Amino acid sequence: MIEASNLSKVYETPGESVKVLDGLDLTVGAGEVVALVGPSGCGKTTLLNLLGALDRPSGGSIRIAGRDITGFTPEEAARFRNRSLGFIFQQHHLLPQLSVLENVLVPRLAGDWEEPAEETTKRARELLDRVGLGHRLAHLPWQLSGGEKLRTAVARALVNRPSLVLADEPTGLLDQASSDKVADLLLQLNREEGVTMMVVTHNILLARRIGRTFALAQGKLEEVSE
Amino acid sequence: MTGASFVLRGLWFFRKSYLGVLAGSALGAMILLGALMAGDSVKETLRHVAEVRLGKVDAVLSGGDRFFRSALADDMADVEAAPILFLKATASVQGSGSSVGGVQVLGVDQRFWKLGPGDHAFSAPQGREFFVNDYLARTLDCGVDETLVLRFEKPALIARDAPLAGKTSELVVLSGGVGEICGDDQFGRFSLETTQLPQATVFVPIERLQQAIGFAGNANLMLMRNRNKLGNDELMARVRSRCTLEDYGLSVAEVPLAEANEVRSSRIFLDRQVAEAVRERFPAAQPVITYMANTISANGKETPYSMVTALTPEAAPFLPKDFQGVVLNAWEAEDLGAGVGDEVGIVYYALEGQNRLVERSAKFPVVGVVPLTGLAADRMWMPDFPGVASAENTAEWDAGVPIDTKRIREKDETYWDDYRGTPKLFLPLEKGREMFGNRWGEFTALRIPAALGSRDEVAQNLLDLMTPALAGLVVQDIRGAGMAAATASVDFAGLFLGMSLFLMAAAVALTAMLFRFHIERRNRESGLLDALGIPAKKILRWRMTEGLCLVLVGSVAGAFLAAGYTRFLLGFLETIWSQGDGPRLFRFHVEPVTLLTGVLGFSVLLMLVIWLVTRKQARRTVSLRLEAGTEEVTRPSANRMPWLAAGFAACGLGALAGSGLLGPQGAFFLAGLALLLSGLAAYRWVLRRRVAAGGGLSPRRMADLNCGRRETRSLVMVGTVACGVFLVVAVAAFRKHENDNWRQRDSGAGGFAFWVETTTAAERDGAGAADDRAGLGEARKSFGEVLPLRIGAGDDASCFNLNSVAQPRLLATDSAALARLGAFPIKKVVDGSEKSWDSLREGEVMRAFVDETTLMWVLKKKLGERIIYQDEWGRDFPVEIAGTLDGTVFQGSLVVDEARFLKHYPSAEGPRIFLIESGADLEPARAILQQTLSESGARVDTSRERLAAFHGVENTYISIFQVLGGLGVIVGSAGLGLVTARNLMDRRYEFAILRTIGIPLAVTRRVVLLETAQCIRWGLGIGVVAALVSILPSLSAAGIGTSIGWIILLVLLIAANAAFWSWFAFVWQNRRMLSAQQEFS
Repeated sequence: MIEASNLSKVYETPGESVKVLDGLDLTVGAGEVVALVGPSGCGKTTLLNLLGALDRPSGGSIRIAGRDITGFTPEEAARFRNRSLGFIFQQHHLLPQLSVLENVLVPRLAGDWEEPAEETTKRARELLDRVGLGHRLAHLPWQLSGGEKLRTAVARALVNRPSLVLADEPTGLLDQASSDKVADLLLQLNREEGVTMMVVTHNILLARRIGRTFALAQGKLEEVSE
Repeated sequence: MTGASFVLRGLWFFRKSYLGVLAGSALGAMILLGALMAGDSVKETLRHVAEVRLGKVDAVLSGGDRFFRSALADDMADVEAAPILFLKATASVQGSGSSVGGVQVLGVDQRFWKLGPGDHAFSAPQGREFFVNDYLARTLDCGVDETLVLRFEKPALIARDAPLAGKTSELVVLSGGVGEICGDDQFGRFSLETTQLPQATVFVPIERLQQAIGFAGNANLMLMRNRNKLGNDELMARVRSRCTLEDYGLSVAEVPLAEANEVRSSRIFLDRQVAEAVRERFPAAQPVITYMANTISANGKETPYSMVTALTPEAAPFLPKDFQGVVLNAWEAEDLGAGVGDEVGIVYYALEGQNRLVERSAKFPVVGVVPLTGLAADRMWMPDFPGVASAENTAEWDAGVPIDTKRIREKDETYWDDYRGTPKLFLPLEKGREMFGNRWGEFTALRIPAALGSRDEVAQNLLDLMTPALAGLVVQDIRGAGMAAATASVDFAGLFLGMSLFLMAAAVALTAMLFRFHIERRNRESGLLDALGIPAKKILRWRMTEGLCLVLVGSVAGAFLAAGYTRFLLGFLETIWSQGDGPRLFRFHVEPVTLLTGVLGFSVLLMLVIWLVTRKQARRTVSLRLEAGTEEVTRPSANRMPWLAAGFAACGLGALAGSGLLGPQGAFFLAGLALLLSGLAAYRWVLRRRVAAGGGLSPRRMADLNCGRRETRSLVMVGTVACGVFLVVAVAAFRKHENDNWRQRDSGAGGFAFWVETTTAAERDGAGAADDRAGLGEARKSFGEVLPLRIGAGDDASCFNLNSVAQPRLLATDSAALARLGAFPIKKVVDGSEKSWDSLREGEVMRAFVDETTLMWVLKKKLGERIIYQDEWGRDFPVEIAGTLDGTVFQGSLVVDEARFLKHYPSAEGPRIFLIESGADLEPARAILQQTLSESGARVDTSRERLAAFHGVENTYISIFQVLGGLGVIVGSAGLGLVTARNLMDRRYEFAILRTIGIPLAVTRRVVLLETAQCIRWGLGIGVVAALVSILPSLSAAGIGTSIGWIILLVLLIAANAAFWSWFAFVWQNRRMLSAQQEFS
């Protein structure tokens, strides 16, 4: 599913260039769930942004589901994210003006979805039901707890039937019990939907539960064995 | 959910946040639309005034001081016409002390009212009844049935300053009861002057006025309604086809003794053009000049007051061929005891300069003596000199020249009884032309041999060759000119737009800034949408759609507010042009097109600005937007600021240096803009240096860092204050002040204390009353220089007239006298001329000096350009603008040399304006002038008052500018407060941390105040420097001196205002900051 080779990312500032990723290679199979760990500032989010076509690498290539995403135009990248990827952010980033259900349906706003709107809405309801928010469809984000917000974000990440979900410290703001529930949910959805997942986390327990774990340090990626 | 519903949801959810954007849009639209509506309203007002002023009148036949038959109007067939007898008078209410000069008295009949506006049936005044217009009624506080007294000078057939023009002055007093007060709908506004100001008017039955002035059956104006839309030439042809010789002031008389028919003019002297035309048609026509000699003398003897005739021998066969001397008749030869070979002296009156009557003399040898019989004794040699021809005896002569009746002998009376004006002396034609010719003409008659046709045939021939223009009767398309002046009036929409520019810019900037804040607030939302694959263009489109909805709603709301705002602006204008407690001049009016284009134009403008500030956000990467939140992220770049600052400063100074090319206004604005940008670049440079400098952390350092952290916001704050200060200071410095230097010759008053305008024109200088053209008599010695000015063609183009004036009023005066006095500040003259009034007499064409204000704002012309005028006969001639004057009492007029003026307008009436020099004590001097000149309906103003009136108008504009600029500053400052509030809100957690780690609130407050103070300080500095440097070339030292206190006060007010709003924002946000601190803790 994910094939990144010799991937590098350099940030240029006046008088200084910071190499965050340095010839990194990564391969993740379809339906796999992998965890990405590393110290703060090591480039985890950068890697996630590159894999999610949110940013462009300075060198190397990335293939997602067989497609080289490094040569995408901004429009192609947007379409790719909209149709093939799901994002879960630590901050959830729910739109305050929309209800829970509408927040899940936000990706449809890109337009040109082949799936009828009714189908997507039905799926959004199902997803929210599965994450335990079936009774809060009309609620606004400020009426939700932190865990509920995250679960809404999870449902939103899956509404487009993505082949890859990228989660950036999804449990970063949650206590351990809530984190466990989120981990359960992600793994359950992985099993049920067969979606590939990459989860950036500092939570070692979560990483252990996920199984395959990569550690990022000094721009290089290294698989961590049990 | 669709994009539309997403946008609507966003609009509703963020409605509170968007209120500011909505209010800003409404404010900006209100200002823009208000300016446009003010423009529409002024145009509509002028159009309406022109409509009620002219009624259904399309064209006017005007003869100036010439008269024609009022029956001409009856003959005009399908052209509806009304004869008018037009005079100027002084009006007063019987028993009341108040009087008004310069009142237009219109002798009218029922036909006049038929040409009035609307279809109201209105009866003309009858019998002894007068009608007055409501302006005069208000001015004199007179009502119906009160008795009105009119005093006016009896008009003459020939200008009063012509020699032998008859009685020098004859005052007519006419009284009548006020029967009706005419409002605008009843043609009370009628006037031929292109102005929005009402003219005091009295309507009198035409027959009564004709009788009162002794011109029965005559009129001097004919109003025409051109139903068939004939062209001006066609209309002129129609008039020509109906004119008789009487209308042209000509007649043909049989002269049996000369076997000729004589062409005569009711104006005594045949116009040069008419004489030329007749001589061309009848080459055999013989010119005759008969004139009065004060004395004929020879051999120590003299004959007083005798007619002499200059002619060719062809006109008088009794004269020797090619005679070079004079021929006396037998009576005269006997009286003088003179014969052939003796020398005869002739003393006669002639005009020196343009208006001074002097005695001149000439000597001739006697070459013959003719018996007083036959043609030599024909009484018809003498024209009908007014005051002479009808006199019973010589002592009764009132020839309009000084006559010493004591010199008249018994034998002279007997001669008059027996031979009337039969000439006693004949001299060669060419000598007569030299001696007696004047600007009104050279010949008193043209004799056409009877062999060339009978009297009737000659008359018909004469009628065929004559045109109204040749006789000084001109048809003017008064409606076309009036409407053109009304529609092409001063562009008030542009003026108010210019004045509101800063206010509008402040509103637009504030709105765009608020929108940007909002978008920044939703940075993460945009980042998320982008991350979820919503195309960036789509997100931008949604944002813009939200903006458009707000802007459109705001603009529509602004349109409603604009109606009130326009009334506020019109109220300001009303203070200049209102007529006391009279009806309001300005009518609120808005054209649908203006409304639509205004709303759309403003929406487009605002959307453009919003797009400019929003697209920047859309360009940022998703990850950056997700991370940055509301934080401003500036792109690090090489510091080009010092170069930019220096470059803009150089551009500003360059614009000032090139003010000759750009014009003072263009140079001022360009220099101001460049210097403001230079200041902002300098601030940015300093800010970056301070941020980069490092050093110990102190509240000041924190303030620098915070200002640098949000550079754009800091620049917006500095820029807003700087622009406000620039505008208000610059405009304040342009405020006009009357100073006490009016006594100086080089001041706008030229050293003259009084500007006196009379209703009746002055006569020429009498031979014994040198230098008293104003007719001050004994009081003359109380005053210094008196400068008379003749009022010529054209309209008042001063700032009092809102109409577009194509031909400003000509003021003709003795340019040599002005040059001698060195009076008035001449600012610029055309290349190759000296900066002197003498240059008015140079060049091929008539030259004029004009006030720079009039040239620039009203005429919109440049030095050296020409304006076409029509002379007395309707022929075009150019007037070159040869120089500009700096803020003088002549605003609104072209000052020309009198001699040149009279070549084009020989029949022009005498001076009606007098500039009078006086001592220091003005009020007693004014009282003397008012008393002495009351008969001539004089209005006496001090020059200072006149200048103050002009300055009042200009200062009102400046006040509007300042009020709008001040509002802009308030809006800008409120925006500044919002920026501060927003800044504080965004940093609430930062403050909470500081508080948590034990930093006292006082320190935090100090940091914030230092940040604000820095912005205000820089804004004030940049604004003041830019303003002072930009206005420096346009200001005199006195101007700065009188404005400096005002400027300092304004600057302090602006600073205080900005500080208040920042403080207000701080207090406002303080509570929220505290709650944030609790939340954080």
